[in-house]
Amino acid sequence: MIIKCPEIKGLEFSERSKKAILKIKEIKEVGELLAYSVAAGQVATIFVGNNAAVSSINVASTDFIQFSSAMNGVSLIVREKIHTRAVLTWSKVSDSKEKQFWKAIAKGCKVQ
Amino acid sequence: MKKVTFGLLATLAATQIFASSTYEELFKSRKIDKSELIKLDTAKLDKVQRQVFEDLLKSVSMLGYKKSECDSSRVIKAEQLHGLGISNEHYNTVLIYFYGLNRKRCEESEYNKFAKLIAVNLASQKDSEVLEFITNLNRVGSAVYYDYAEAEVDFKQLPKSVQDRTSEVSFLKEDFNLFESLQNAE
Repeated sequence: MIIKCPEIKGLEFSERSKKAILKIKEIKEVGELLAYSVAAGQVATIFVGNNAAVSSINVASTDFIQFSSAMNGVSLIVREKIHTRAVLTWSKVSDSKEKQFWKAIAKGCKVQ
Repeated sequence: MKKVTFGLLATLAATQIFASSTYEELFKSRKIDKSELIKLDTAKLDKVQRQVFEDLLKSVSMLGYKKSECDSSRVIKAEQLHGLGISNEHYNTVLIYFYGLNRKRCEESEYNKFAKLIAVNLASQKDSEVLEFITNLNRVGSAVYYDYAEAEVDFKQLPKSVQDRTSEVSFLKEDFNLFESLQNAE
């Protein structure tokens, strides 16, 4: 079930929340960079390789599956990190609006 | 070597941040500059480098799936916490610490394999872009262990009696849903 991120008026972030946001952004960006980088690498392997088209694609297919599976793993790991950091931050802030924000992040809310 | 630059936020001003713009900052995928991409060409690796790299990729996949398996729906109830005979101001620290311990135990085999393969690859790979990729994999794969370490630091600052008493309790040593349990603790 997709939960919509709630609008929270009058929210002001504490230093703790600001640091948590930075950490989450950083890990998310590293995850995205890994995913894009792998994709670029695989495209290069298919089209730049010296072998005959069929064998190149066969090798690349195996690589694709491996990389694709690894990137699924990365996304699960990133999701866990974001959830954990959100829960920890929720537990440590006292402002009710901040708590509401972090609860939404921990629940995996989506902007719609 | 292509430099990977991260578009980290500038220091957030003390002025009010509207939640919707922050959600967008957290969730939107930033535009990746082609010059930033780490272009892996595994065809350049020798047989051994390729094997250890493939083993690492498999371990990332296994670690991710194991983490999902370690998720638990079990919730620790308020009555169970009251029964600990400790101050309620310690509940959060205790729950977070044991949650971390349980998670580490649950994924121990997969994480250890991942960590060893990170080390082996860092020692074996020569290509700078492969090394950069591995470094980023490690940043992602090991990031949550900072949170577990933080939880341990907080726990060890609790009175010794609290540490000892909670360490003997079985319901804390089985996987549980942290967020729902923390809500019960409030």
